[in-house]
Amino acid sequence: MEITSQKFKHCDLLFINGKVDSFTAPDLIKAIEALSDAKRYKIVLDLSHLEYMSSAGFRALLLGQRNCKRYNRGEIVLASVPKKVMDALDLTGFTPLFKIFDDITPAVGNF
Amino acid sequence: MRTAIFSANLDQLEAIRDFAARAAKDAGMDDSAIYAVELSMDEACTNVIEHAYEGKNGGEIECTCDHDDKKLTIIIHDHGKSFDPESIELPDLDADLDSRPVGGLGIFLMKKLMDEVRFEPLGEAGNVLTMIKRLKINPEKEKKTSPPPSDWKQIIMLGEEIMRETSLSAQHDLIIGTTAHILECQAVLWLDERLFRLPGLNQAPLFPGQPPSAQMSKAFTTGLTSSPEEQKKLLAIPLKNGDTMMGVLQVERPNKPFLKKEFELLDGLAGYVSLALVASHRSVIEQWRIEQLTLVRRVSAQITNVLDLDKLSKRVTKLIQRTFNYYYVAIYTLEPGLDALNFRSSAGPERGGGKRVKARLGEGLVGSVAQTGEEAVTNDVGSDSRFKFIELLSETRSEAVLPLKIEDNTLGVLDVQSDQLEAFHPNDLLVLRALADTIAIAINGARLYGELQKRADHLAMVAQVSEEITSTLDLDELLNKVAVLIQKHLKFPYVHLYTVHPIRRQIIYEAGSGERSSSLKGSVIDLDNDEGIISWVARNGKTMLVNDVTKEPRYHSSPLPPEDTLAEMTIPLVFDIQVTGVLDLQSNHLNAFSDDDRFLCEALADNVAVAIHNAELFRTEQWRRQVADSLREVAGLISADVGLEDVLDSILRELERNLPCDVAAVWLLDGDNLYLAQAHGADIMEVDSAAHRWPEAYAFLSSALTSEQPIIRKPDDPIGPTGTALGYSADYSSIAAGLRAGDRPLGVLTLSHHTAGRYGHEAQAMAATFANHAAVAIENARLYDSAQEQAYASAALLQVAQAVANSNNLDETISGIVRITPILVGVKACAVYLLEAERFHPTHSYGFSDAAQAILWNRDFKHGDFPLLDSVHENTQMVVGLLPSEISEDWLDPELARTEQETFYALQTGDHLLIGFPLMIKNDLFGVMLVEEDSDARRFRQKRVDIVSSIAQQVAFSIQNEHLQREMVIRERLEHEVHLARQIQKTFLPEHLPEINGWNLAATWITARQVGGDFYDVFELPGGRLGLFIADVSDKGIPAALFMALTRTLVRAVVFDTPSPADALRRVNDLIIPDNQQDMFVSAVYGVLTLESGVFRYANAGHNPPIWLNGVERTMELLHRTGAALGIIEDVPMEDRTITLAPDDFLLLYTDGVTEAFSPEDETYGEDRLKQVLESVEMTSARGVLDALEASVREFMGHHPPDDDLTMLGIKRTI
Repeated sequence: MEITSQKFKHCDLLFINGKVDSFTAPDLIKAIEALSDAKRYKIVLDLSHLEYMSSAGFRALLLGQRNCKRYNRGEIVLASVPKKVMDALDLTGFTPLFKIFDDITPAVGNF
Repeated sequence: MRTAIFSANLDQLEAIRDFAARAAKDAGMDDSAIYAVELSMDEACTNVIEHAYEGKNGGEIECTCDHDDKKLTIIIHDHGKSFDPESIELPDLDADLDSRPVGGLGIFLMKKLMDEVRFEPLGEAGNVLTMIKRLKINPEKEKKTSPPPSDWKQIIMLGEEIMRETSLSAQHDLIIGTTAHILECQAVLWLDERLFRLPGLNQAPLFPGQPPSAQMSKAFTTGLTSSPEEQKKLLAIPLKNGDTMMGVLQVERPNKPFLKKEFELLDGLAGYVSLALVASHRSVIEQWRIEQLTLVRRVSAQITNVLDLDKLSKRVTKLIQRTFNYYYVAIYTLEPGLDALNFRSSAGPERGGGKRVKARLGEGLVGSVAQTGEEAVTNDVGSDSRFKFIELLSETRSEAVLPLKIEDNTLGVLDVQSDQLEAFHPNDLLVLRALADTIAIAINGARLYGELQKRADHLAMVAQVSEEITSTLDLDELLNKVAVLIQKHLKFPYVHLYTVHPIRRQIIYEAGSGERSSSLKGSVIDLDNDEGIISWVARNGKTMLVNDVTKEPRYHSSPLPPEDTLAEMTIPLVFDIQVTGVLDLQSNHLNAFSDDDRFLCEALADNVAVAIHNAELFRTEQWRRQVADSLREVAGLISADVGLEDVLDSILRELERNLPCDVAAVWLLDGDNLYLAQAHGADIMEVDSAAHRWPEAYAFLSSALTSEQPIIRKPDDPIGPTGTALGYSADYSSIAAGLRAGDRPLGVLTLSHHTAGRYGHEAQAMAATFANHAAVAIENARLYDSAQEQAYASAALLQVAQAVANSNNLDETISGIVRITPILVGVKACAVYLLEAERFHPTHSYGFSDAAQAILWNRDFKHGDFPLLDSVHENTQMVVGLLPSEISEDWLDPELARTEQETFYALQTGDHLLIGFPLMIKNDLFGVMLVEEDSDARRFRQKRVDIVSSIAQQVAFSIQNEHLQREMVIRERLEHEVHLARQIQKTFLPEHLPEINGWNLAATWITARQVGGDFYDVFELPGGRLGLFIADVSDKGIPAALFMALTRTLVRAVVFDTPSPADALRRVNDLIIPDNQQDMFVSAVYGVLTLESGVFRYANAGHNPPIWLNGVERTMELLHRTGAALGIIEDVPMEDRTITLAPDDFLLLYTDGVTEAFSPEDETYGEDRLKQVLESVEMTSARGVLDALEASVREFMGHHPPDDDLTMLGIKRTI
């Protein structure tokens, strides 16, 4: 898995390429933490190139979302979620916890 | 069924998922089901790794997948800790963000995604997790039963896998492998590779050019399956796409002929493979096309924003070279009218990249394409006669040169070279052509923009130059500005401006910029000179543009360096048909001037001509105003705060501007004498001395002093000072106007001109007016000067004060002041003597001649040696001495001014003075400041004397300060030393006394103001023994503290070597002596107490005897010395003694601070008082005894602080 980040005026975009499982999830957590450590809590996750995500990835999202939403300082939103991943998210009841956008543009525009 | 074993590590998860995905695929699941299986497998194994094996390495996971047509079964077996996923609470999926649990999701997913999840802990045998996913029933699939589904399925899958692979070799392996697997045979595949070649990829061929076997050749040519007639053990099946033959697949099974059913299978396989290969190739081509299009788009995108041609070329060449991996890519542009191409940029992987390559029209491929505008592609440069070999690009094998064209106009070429033969596939060329078109458009755009930009720049420049020059009315300034501006904007190396004088028939150089301009200054060209461009232009009023001077007969080269002019453009400055000047531009480049430049410069020239005309008009108009302005200027000086010198300068300047004169001068009265205060046009000294040497000349000046009107010199009048000094002929002109403030004459203003009859009534009136204004200004300036002088004196003192404040010590201060005084005040030399023990000691001097220095500076002066200093000493005031001669020896005995009157007189008239200033605070004389006063500076002598007195005062203060400080430093040092010694002492006293069963220890240490050398020590020794030590160093302060430290260290070092205290002390003694350079000594008692028995073995080296108190009977015994104090003699005799301390016995060790404590009546405390206290004291604890003793001593001393440290060490046996 590879994560690249891009800074926008109002938010940050994390582009996740590849597969997120228990082995790679720590990197995702780190990437999100790096942003929140820099006091940036408005994050768009671009999942268009996400091939796979296990519950470890979901946990990373959950922890990140909790931290970002604290004190109403921001949130994580998801963009271009692949169908398979979307199904699993839905199954685990994660979809209500995140704003989900079809494309990056409205996701970034959300902030 | 497939089984695999993975190591239990998270980095294996991907492999584990792949394994499960393959099984799911084999079972015929669709994508979403496969994903579900992957996810479940992942979650299951993550749990095993994280929980069963607790994240530890070394464990293994055995995975087995099996499927039938109804379900896929996955069994996961591990040997980790028993772990029941059922025990995990399933997450509440409706909980809000914060209360949502982080764990449990994995199990939840497994259960949701799989149809069955079973967990069986097997104890020793580990854990087994079984997951089952049921297959969806596909009714269509069910029907297709023949041929055997597994084989056909494999064939279909082969097709898919071929599509997924992009390289031909991987596809080859897949086909061979699957064929061999299905038919259990050997398989050979041959493909006609030309069909599969990708443009731009030059890989080594994978297949031979022809089918490798006869059977295969036959099948390939006939398009029919071929086999040797008799046996069906070898078959060659053609692979075709429609009518195109693509290759042959040959199968061989020597042991078993192929069955008919297998023929069908093979046919089907060949069909599938062909289809898959074609589809795959198409998709690769498609992909490639997209990439090319992307490139073209990228190039276009890059280009549209770049308007700088070079930058654009650089980017494009690099982009093409990188993307296509060509050997070399370059762009040239074609400039109209030139026969050489303009190299813009190149890119290459190696050294060729970026280097400039020359190309001329019609030469080489690049040149010919540039000329014809036709594309040229050479697949083998060796066979193309147009190809021109370049050392730099030795690897080139094929080359494509594309014209960059807009309609029919060739703007340049794109040159692409490859180190491969036949590198340019038609597809490549299509892309390159598209790129070339885009580049052409961009170049055209950049050019248009460039021209537009240039035109806009030019217009802006004309506007700017015009604006600047029309606001300039001074002709010189104007011409200079024009020259500078033209060079700045047009960047021609030489820009020169001339004015044309038709009456004098001259062309005069006026201004220029560039290397030559300074040497051209003052040069004049004959207007009628037949040769030369400038004179031609000046005569004809027409521009000449010569872009190659070697071909122009009128040009003749400039005699001035640098001689590199290759092009010249000369433009007349015309106003109202009249040529008033010439603008001459030269360049060291051929073809430097374009028509654009010409129009531009002509436009400029028109503006310049108008400006010159204006400036000239202005010049005549100006003179009339100038006179009025000058008067106003001088009048302005009256109110301005400027010094006299500046005022005189301004007056003369204004006068010169208005009246013709060679010399203008102001004479001022000093007392009754006129002296020359300022002159323009002649040397002041010469004119002044002429006035004083020639009485007639002086008389001429004096007469003007009293005359009502300025005096105009008549030719037969006596020659005045200026005329005398400058040797004018007798009829020279001169005018002299008196300067008066009210009725008081101040001086004379004179103007002189070497020709006759220059001054008339007008000049006389003007001179009179000037003189009036000037007189007021001079008077005013004099007042200002005196105020200025006050300010100056304050500034000088401030400087001195600063010097004093900045220096750290007296010597530096004096040195500084001695140096700056002559500079600040203007005395010739300065020196300071300090009075020490009734002698004057020289410290610093500055400015004296070497001879005087030798006399004044080689020694201390005692009374009578140097009467001037003595006189200052006696009178404690300034004393002036008149230096009678230049003989330095006499300096020690100048004639002294003894009274105030004499002093005043000496200061007024004395030429050469030596003045002594007392350095004194109240009545303390610290020294004398000696100053040498020179005759040259007589006018402000009194003032300077005052300033020097003040400086002397400052010096005196510094000296006093230094003295005070010195005392303070000594005091501080002492305090510091005491503090330090105390620190040392403290460090060596034991922090805690040991607590020992059956014994009770206490110590008291009272410090005196001065540090004594007392110390004590208690240390445990092996064998249940305790060392007790008390000592007193004979000295005090730091040395004593250090000596004490040494002793203590030595004691601690030696006590372990010997059981005998006497022996230990002897050794310490021997070790101290070599270090003892200050004749210090140490008295000490050292004893070793055996705790069990109470035996105390001790030695006393000249110390106050410890007191041994029998606790029961209250008898006392003194432990007298058993040897001499330490540090005095080597091999000191020393003995051990032994006593035994019984229970309740008490032993007191102390220093003489106790017994020698003084009462206010100067009595000493003494041993007897000590004993008295001990007799009566309550013997509860050692502490109690010492406290009682301390109280007694303190009471005895009263308020008297202890003179010496007071130290006691007590030990009581309790059992």
